[in-house]
Amino acid sequence: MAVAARPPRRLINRIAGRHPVGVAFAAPYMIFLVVIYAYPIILAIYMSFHDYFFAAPGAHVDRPFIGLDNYITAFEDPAFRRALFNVVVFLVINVPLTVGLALVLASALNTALPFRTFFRASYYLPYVTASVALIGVWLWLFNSDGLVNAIIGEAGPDPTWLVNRFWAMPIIALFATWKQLGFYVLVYLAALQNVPQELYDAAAVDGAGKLRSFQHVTVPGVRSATTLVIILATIVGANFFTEPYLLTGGGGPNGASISPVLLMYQEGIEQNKPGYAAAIGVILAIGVVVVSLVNRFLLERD
Amino acid sequence: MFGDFETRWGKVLFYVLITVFVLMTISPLLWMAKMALVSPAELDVYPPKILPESLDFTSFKTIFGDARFRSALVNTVVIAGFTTVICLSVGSIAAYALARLKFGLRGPVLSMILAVAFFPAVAIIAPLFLQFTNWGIVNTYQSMIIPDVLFALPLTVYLLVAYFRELPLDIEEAAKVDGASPMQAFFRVTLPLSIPGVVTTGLLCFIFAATEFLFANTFAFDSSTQPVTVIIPQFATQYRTDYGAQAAASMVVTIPLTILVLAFQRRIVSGLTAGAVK
Repeated sequence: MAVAARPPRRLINRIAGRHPVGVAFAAPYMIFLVVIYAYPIILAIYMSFHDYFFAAPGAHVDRPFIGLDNYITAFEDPAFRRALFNVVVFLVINVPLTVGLALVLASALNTALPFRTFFRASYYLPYVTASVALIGVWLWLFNSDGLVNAIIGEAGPDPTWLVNRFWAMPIIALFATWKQLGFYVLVYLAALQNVPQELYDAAAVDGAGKLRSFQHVTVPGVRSATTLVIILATIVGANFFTEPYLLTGGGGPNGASISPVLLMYQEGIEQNKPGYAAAIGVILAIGVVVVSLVNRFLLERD
Repeated sequence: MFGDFETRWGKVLFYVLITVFVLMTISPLLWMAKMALVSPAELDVYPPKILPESLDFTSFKTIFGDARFRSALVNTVVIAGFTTVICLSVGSIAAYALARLKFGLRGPVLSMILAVAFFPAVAIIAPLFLQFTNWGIVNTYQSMIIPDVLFALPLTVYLLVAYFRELPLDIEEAAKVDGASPMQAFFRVTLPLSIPGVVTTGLLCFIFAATEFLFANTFAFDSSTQPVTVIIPQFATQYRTDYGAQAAASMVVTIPLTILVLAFQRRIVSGLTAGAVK
């Protein structure tokens, strides 16, 4: 056919491969990514080394190169340090709870359970509901005269939950865990389909009870899903924004529940210091990538 | 694994546990419904009653009487609708290329998609703001649709690749033997066969865009473009938050999405399952 008559064009052939039309198929996405995504990332890195600020379009303003100043400012900024600490608090609460609950619930939902569809759907509901919609309810639950205090009475902390320096972050982490749990249950449900039934049978023959077979068959069997869940939960944890923005009125009380993203938002958009915000963003991005790689390495070591 | 508990008590304990968790997930949503449906006076009663004593639509009258809320509903549908259509059209052909075609740039394309999925969205919010200002599109639908598409596309492609891979190869091969080009194989065979998967993926895109808050809160300034997620927290009088109106507005957004999810529930589970299996 026509193919044989063509002169050899090695480089083009290598890019094109066996199905050159694939390049055309992927092209719209790639062009979109380069135009929308690559440019802002490069600009963010550029901005983080400059004293950048927003000016009217077309106005010529001086935005001097300041080297690492934005980065040094960030690490000296108590708000940023607090935000990093809060990410750690968030992850310490959120990740173990998420992994534990999601795996146990997924195992339960994987059995021939009556009303299984109902149970699955009810875990999924918070995930599909807008954070903003749920936050009103949580605000009301944890208000000083909210439902939680009405139930536990005098045992509630003073000042009350969300305006308490100690309790604000744990409640934010619990909210996020609750909201996202359904998604992770589904990830585990999917992974459980790949654990061969023979392993459970063999464990039963060897006299293993339910708990032992969970420990020795299920947990190792869904290990790659656990890696995925931990990495995704870490990304979500590094990026939480809506919760402190709305639940604690912009990272309150007194900055106790500030998050790096909220800080970026406040500094970059509200305070017009996009260079500083970009530096925070770059630090955050590097942090997420490093933590993801370390997680992956630790979890998939053998 | 919990399926055949040896003892009756084990079984009882199991159901108690799973019911407690279900209550924990849906009770805040039920509470939201209660808050929306009682009178403002009852909302202030302390300590709050678990069961509603009145049925009152004041909160719904408040929100639907508010022109900002009505236009916000339209804005949400427009933004989420366009996001979904763009994601599906750009994502499906890219996913098909990744799932079925052997082309040289496959590796780089895959790693770029992964890079987006793993990169914190907000790290680029300040430069995006700058870029949108330069393009003069701040406070337009585009300024929300573009970043929504950007961050919905990795999941779209991921799910669609899984769907396309699940289709038996034989059908496409048969089409190719009959002389169909890859383009024809995709549009005439693969796409029609994977409509259920495409619809499910589209639903997830729509939910993502309809519940998105950060970009909307950054790029939309007034009620001509603000979607519902930005309007809900604004239901407040001068002195206090109007929890009833917030709950009612949240219900108006949540109920249609919930119905959609329930309608497509089975497909969403199997869709994510297919996606996660790899």
